[in-house]
Amino acid sequence: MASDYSQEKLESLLSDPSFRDWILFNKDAEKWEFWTLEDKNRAKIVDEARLILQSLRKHNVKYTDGDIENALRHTWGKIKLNPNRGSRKSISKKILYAAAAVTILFSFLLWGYNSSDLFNLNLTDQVALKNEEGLIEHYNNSNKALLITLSDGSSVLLQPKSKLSYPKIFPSNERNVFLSGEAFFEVSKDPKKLFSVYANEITTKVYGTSFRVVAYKEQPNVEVLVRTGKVTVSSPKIKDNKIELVLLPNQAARYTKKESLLEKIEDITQNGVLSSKPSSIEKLSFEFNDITVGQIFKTLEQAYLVEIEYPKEVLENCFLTTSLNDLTLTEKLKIICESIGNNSTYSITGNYIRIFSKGCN
Amino acid sequence: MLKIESKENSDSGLWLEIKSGREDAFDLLFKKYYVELVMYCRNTIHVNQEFAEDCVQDVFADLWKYRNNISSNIIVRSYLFTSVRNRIYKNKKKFKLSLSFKRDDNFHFDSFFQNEFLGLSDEDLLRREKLNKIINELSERQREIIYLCYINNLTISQASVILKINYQSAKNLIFRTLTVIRGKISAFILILLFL
Repeated sequence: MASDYSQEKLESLLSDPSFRDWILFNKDAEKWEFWTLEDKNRAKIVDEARLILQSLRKHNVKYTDGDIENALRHTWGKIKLNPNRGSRKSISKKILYAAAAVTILFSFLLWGYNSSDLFNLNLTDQVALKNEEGLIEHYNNSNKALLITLSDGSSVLLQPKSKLSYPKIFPSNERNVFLSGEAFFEVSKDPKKLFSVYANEITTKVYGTSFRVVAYKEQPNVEVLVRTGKVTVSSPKIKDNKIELVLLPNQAARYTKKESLLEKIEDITQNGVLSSKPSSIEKLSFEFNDITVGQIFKTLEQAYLVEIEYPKEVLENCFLTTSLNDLTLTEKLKIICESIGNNSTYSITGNYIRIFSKGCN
Repeated sequence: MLKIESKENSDSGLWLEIKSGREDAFDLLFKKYYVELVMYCRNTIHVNQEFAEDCVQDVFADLWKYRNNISSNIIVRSYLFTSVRNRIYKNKKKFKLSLSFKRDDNFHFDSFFQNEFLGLSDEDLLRREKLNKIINELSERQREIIYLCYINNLTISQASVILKINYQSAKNLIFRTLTVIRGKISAFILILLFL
């Protein structure tokens, strides 16, 4: 039947890039139109080929240059998540779960801990796993805030039902963490290493300061509230160009997901502006004037929701005058120990802090 | 033929620059192929937009991260399509996505009216609408080879590598697919004649 021959012709037309360029992009129109008219039988085949090609090519109305730029930026974001891996590793999740459990148990044993009063680690309350990118994923399953100390000394108070992903040790040039939910950040100062919090569509960048990020998946808004220092907030999804807001203490940024709108809130001390109330740490003052060490530790316990074990008898009559505002928890502990003197030291494991001291001068 | 060769040259030039660490070359390659790759996934394998975008971005991210482990002699176009396809199928298995896309005929309709198809006769519009449906009814494989060879500028030989079939199977597949399409078109035209 003629159809066999015509199908051959059809195939050879369709496989010809020059023909496709004519149908789809109108290149060399004159030459091809002439060719089509040369032979009566060609018109039918050309018509068929045109129908097929034009139907196959769905138009990409949705992709503007801006969309492509955003996708490119997103891709660089993925690259920076884990830049220097020479080879891929895939570890089955079961092995990771087992390893995590063993690690937690092991550090338990290392402490030589036998009484269950002060330190009650419920393994289901916090789940910390290594994900495929090599980041630790810390999920707070309990009903109170959870303290996470990062490798640079920064502290993060992670609220319930929230998750923080971070590298065990920060690389030399940057500090990136990923938040889903809500947390209060105290970032240790390092002008050489930018600290970035990626939460849903908002990125918060600082060199050292304290601020709160509220970014729950189900909520319509993402918010960043600054307590101390200077914070830059940007959102990559905004279509025209990259908008960056610079926030000072007591200022906030609110990102409305639906409208992709990023706005600045000038004064968060006004009521009713924000969706959630500040946690106790944001309300407390860390100015201590001739206060007992025990009292100072109590304040820290309240602010960071930690347990602090310290030699009470030895430190009974120690009074300190010091200002610990705008410092991370580890920085605060360091200064307290230095102020007590006598080679006093501390150690942190999750929410549990232990102070070693022989008394003050 | 000349046109294809110069395209390959610019791709291989870009790739060499990417291998030597040039981020601007990476950006150029990304902009050149991103939409084409995403639309390929949407149109042939019928995954949703977010999933397709995610997979393509992951492929590019890996291309940069592991550039030192990849040969300088790759055919970039082939390599990208192969990687994207592999990533889509791997991730589909992981997350068990259901193919609900088939019900979304609106997708075809929208692209239908938003381009130069306006101004065509009713009969022509009907034909194109019908062809959209025919393409939708093809198997994934059939759609893939048609797209790879006729829209994404790959040769049959390259398409056979990407689809992991041998050259003759690829040729047969194209032939059968065109037969199916033409058969359905003429059945449709017959119906039109009797209306």
